[in-house]
This record gives sequence, C-alpha cells and structure tokens, in this order.
Amino acid sequence: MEPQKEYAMFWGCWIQARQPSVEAACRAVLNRFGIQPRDIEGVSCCPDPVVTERLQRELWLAMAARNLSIAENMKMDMVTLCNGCYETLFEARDTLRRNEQLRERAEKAFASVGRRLPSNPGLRHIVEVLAKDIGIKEIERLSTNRLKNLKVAVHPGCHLYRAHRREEAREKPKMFEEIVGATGATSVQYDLMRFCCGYPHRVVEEEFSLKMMLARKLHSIWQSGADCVVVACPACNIQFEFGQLELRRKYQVELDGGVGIPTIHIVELVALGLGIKPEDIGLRAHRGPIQNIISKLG
Amino acid sequence: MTTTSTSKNADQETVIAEALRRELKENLVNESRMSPDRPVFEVRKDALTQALKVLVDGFDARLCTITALDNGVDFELIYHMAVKALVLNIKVIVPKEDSEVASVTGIIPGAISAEREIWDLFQIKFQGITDSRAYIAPYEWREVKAPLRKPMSGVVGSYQKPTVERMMQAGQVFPIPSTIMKQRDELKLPPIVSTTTRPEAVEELHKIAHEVGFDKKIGYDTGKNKLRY
Repeated sequence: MEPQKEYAMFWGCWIQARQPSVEAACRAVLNRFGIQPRDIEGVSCCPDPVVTERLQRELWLAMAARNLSIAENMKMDMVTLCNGCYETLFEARDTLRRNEQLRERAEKAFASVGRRLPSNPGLRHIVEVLAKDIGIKEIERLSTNRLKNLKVAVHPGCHLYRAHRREEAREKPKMFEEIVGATGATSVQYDLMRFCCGYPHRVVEEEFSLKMMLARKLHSIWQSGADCVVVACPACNIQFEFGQLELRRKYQVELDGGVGIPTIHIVELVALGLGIKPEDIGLRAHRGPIQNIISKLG
Repeated sequence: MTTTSTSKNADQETVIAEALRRELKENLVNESRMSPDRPVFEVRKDALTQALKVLVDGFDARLCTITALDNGVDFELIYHMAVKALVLNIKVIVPKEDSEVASVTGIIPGAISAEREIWDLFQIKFQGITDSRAYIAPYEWREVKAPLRKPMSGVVGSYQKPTVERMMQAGQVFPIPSTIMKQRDELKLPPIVSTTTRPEAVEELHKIAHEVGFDKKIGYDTGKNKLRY
C-alpha cells in the first residue's frame, strides 16, 4: 500500500445538497485505498461554467481562484467529483496564468479581502485519482466479483474531455472506461456515448434539453441492454435521474421499458465493486430505479 | 478643431476636474470618457446640484441638454455641459425604485424643458421643479404611462434568477433540504464546511463581487440580499 495521502475535496453544490451517497461512496473508496479526504473550509460554488461565467468573467474567475487558493493553502491537490467544477477550476487556473488583465482584476479583488491569488494550485478529477494515483490494477486487485452481471453504459460527460492539448482530450474518458472495467462490470457500447446529456441546456430551454437531448440518449442506452448508466458528474446524474421523471410526468414521454434506467456516479460503482454494501453508502437515496443495480450484485 | 483649441480644452478640463474632485470629494464616484474629447464625471445622485453649481458658478458652464437612458434596473441621466469649446458630462445613476432626482432648475432655469420631457417619457420625478406639468405627453399619462420606461429588469434571465440569487445569498446554488441533512446524518457524513454554513465566507464573496462590479451589473441589493427585479 502506498504511503497515506491527503486530498482537499471540492464537493461542489450538487453532491452535498442532493447526492449524499456520492460523498459517502467517495469517502469510503478513498479510505479503502489509504487516502484521507479533507474538507475545504469556506469554499463556495465553483462557480458554474455556464451561467456565472457568461454573466461576468471577473467574478467567475475571482470565485474560482478563491476556491483554488484555499486548497493551495492546505498544501494539497484539490479533487473534484464534478465535470462542471473541473471545467471551471481548470479554465480559471489557465486564465490566471495566461490573461494578465483578468489576473490583475482578480488580484485587486483578492487584496480587498486580504487574500493572495494561488500560485500553482494542484487540481485533479476523481477519475484521475482513481486511475492514476490509486491505479487501475489496484482497483482490480481489491474488487470483488460482485459486478460481473452488471452491464453498464458509460457516460463520461462533455467536460471530462477538457485537456490542455487536443491529443490529451481522450485521456480521462479512457481512464473512466478502464475504471469501470476494473470493477468487474461490463461496459456496453451504444451509439450516442459522446452525446451531451442536455443538462446545460436546461437553464435555457427545459423541453429541448429533455426531449431532444436526454430522451435520445436514453433510447440509445436502452437499446444497448445496459442495466444502468455510470457518470463522472453529479449534474449529468441529476439530468439522467430527474430528467426521466420529468419526461414522463411533464411531457408524457414513456421511455422504453417504462421503468427507466438507474444512474450512479463512478465512485459509487467502485464502492460496490470493492464490496461496500449499498446501504453503507445510502445508494437508495437515488431517485432512479436503483433496485435494478442492487438485484444484479453477486 | 485646431491644435491650439485642443490644448486649451485639455487645460480647461484639468482645472475643472480638479475643482470637481476638490468640491465633491467622495461624491465624485467615477471619471471616464465617452470619447477622446468628452470627459464624464459620475457623481452621487445627492451631489448632482452641487456638481452643476461648481461648473455654473466657477466656469460659466451652459447646459446643452439632459439625456436619459433606461438600463433596466437604473436610469442614467447625463447632463451635457459646455464650458466654452469644451463639452463635458455629469452623470448620475437614479435607481428605478426611487425614480426621483433633484431638479436643477434652481441653478439652470433653462433645464426645465428637458426635465419635463424626461418626466413625461421615463416617469422620473424632478424634485423642486418650478413647473411640473406634462410637457410633450398627454396630461392624463403623467402617473400611468411613460413611453420610454422599460419594465424593471436586469441582465439575469428569469430562468437564471434562483441560481444567481442563491449563489449570492449562500455562495452555493442549491439549498440543502432537511431530507438530505437527515440522510447525511444517517450516513455519518461530517458537517458541511462550505459557504452554506460559513456566513463570514459569504461576506467575503460579497466584497469580491462588489470589487469586480458584479453586484452592480446584475442589480443585486446586498442589504436586502436579493436581486432588485
């Protein structure tokens, strides 16, 4: 076992406010591999890369920089479980390095509250922590054979493709698929894997987001014969879970099979693969038909 | 314009700017330019008369006109003042909730036509105006209709308002329901230490938002902790 390591955990808005099972699963998984998750005192929303950044880039950057600076003061890499948070924090870190004008603006705002801009903040997506820091082989080694009957449709999510160079864009989604494989679950192929879940469109046009994006994606997943969807982002998770309910209730769209398809975060899948009981991570708190997953556990 | 007159204007502007800074102090909130030869001095609403008095008494300034602009949450009133060949602007922001500003007819009697016209078109009341009758609009419109006044609205769309407001109120965009708190307790998750439970961190965010002008841009009332529209 590697020496004990600590990470500054950036939970974001969704997980702590809506998905306690994701936080519980993440803590349990990291602990299993000898990693200590540390909470970050006084962090705010990342803030989101759609609404806030479009409203005013200066505030978006200053808030993101503040979050990065608190984690940097803890002398730990910041880890996020959300693709949206990752996008914002990644972009903010780059903007601070490259855009002198915005950096100066943020510096001035920081001075007004007695803070200093982060100098070289470390940032990782949980997918990188699982695949690189813990390692695919280590996950494979500790995984039980409980997920051998589970067929999974992976949905990496758009912002997981965020990278500095074009050739690196596929790296994290590839890691994501490798993690799924390491848990013992079977990843099924479906046509619209790269297709957006539609979450960002919700803030502008809900009907379009659900009917034109989510429903098409769900149809493709259903045809693949998957038992569940695995995501790397709580916002995608919300879109899959609540979107299915809304499609049925608000728009009378009856999806194939009628019962819907459950969605879980990658840390929950890893937790189940490690033999952690569903009730220990509160898996039933999900709004989808989570029993479809539980019944397949060996 | 010749080089000599440009240079004279620049000298004149320097003297005027110094006088405004000296007399208005913190009531002069911003200095900018509408164009290379058009300085703009933004003053607090309460200091409008004082600013114009400095120009009229000290520099024999004339009022060319007053322009009004409805920005959604505020009005911008711009007093175009000429001092010989130099034209400069005195700008005041009038919150829509008040829609009131002091009349300058006491020091510039000729301002009355512009003030009455703006009252007609935007429903901005000019306190102390010497003649408050409707000017270009029908009399019966005075309290009920103003053709150029927009509804109270800002840059945040209606679908974004709950998210943005919540982010300003708590630093996070979603409230935590009691059911989730119960589930967190059952799972023995540690207490939340984000801005949701740290009011001092939210206060810090408000200072940052103010420093970068976000609160002003979106029309957020920090005192009432909500959007103004």
